Amino acid sequence: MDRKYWMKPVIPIRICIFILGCILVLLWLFLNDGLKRHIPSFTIPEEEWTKLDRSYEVEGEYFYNAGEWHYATEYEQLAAWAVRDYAEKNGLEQKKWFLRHMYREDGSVNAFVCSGTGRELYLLLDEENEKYLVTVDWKVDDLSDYQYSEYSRLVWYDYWEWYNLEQSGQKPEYDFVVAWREDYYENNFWQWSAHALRAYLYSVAPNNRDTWVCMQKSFYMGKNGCIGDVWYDSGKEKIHMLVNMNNKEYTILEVL
Amino acid sequence: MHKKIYMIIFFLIAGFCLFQFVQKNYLKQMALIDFAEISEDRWTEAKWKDEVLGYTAVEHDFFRDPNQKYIPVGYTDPAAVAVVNYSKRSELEESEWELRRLYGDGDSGRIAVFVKSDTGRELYLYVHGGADVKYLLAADVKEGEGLMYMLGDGRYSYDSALEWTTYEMQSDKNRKTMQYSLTWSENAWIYDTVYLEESAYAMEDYLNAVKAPGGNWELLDDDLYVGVNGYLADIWYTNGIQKAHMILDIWNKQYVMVEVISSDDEGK
Repeated sequence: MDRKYWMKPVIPIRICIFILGCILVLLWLFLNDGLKRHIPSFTIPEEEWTKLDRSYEVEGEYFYNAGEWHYATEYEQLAAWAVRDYAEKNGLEQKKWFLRHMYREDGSVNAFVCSGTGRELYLLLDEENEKYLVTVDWKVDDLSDYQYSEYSRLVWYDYWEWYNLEQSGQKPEYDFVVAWREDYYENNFWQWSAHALRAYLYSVAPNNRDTWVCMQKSFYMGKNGCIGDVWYDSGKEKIHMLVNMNNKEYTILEVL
Repeated sequence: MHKKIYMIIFFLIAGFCLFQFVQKNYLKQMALIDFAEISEDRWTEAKWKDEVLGYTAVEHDFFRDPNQKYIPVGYTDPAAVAVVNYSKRSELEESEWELRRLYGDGDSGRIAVFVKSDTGRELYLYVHGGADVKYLLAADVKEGEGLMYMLGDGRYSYDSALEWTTYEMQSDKNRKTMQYSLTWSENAWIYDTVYLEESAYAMEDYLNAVKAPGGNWELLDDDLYVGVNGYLADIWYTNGIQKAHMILDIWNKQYVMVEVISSDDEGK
């Protein structure tokens, strides 16, 4: 009689422990897989940005082609302010600057300027905190008209591996779903920016199975014809990156 | 008892499916704007080579812009033919054109091209590529007076092959009293708000004129283009079902609806 009563609860407890164990294993697998699918959000650290001080006023027509694109005055002023600050700190104040393009995407304000002598700046602007970051400072190298060098404080990673796989016709072990319209601009750029995206996804979320669509209308290619500013959207996250077509390098600016 | 429950569930599912079907195939059709295409006689035919007008095949690097190599020649070539053809027909002195903006759709062959010369002349052309190029002159803008429509008290003037419609009555209204919901995202604030506001008045006028059903129309900020002149803008709106494409003259408060296409058509 005693034995019977003693036996009864043991079996359910063992079963419960077994089921709980299974649940924990499944949960661990699920979370682990989830982590490998999830793209962590990213913004460039505070210390990389330059705070604008209000020590001088920027005249309304700082850019050589001021007002030509009809951007809102406050945005063009902010770009002018940042370019002037950077130019003064880097001995570029003698240059005439042309505003080539500006856009805003999910609060990220981007400006692209060039000088008459081939210098180009790509800037990220923060209107709220009045700060800026020069992501690319491109200049023509002294060695040759066709050799360029870019100055950037950002960390660049290469996507050679993905590029070489494509060139050799091999299928990668991992693959991601990347989509773009082929009739927009030169096809090579999209292919290579997709390789850059794959390289990034592989490094942060190898199990990611989202469909990443290139936001081709937000695309900008500088006069240099080498570094493109590109966005990819999965519907859940947006990745903002710069892709260097010559060196097969990329850098992530934002994951929103 | 069980039979009754099964019957109720069956009818509920059938009713839901029927509702979905009607909504997809009938209600959405009802909401479509029946757009009256711009008449053919406003379009100009352009040959790829025209000895009478005096031009041979255009070069792939026709436009003076270092970025044009990132745009397929399938777009730039017909656009170049349209620009050359118009320049020759109108006996323009300008021969060098900077490509300020070009977009197109590979499937339908539609291209919009906006160019500027050193002399400040600007062309807004809508082009159909293919074996035979044809184009619509939306605007030929020059500095100073002399062309059909004045801009900025004679600062600029322009010719156009289009028939413009005024929206002056709409712009007298308060935005809050407008019949349609016309919105734009925060991204659009990068542009001077005058284009956003004025385009909303023009859209309101058009939607009223065609008695479009209600609903929200949102500005496609990525597609907004304003010429150097600052008075003529190329603008797109969408309600999720259709996309409306117009050219806007904010000085004379007039517009032309160039096309209304399905939103599924990634033609833009």
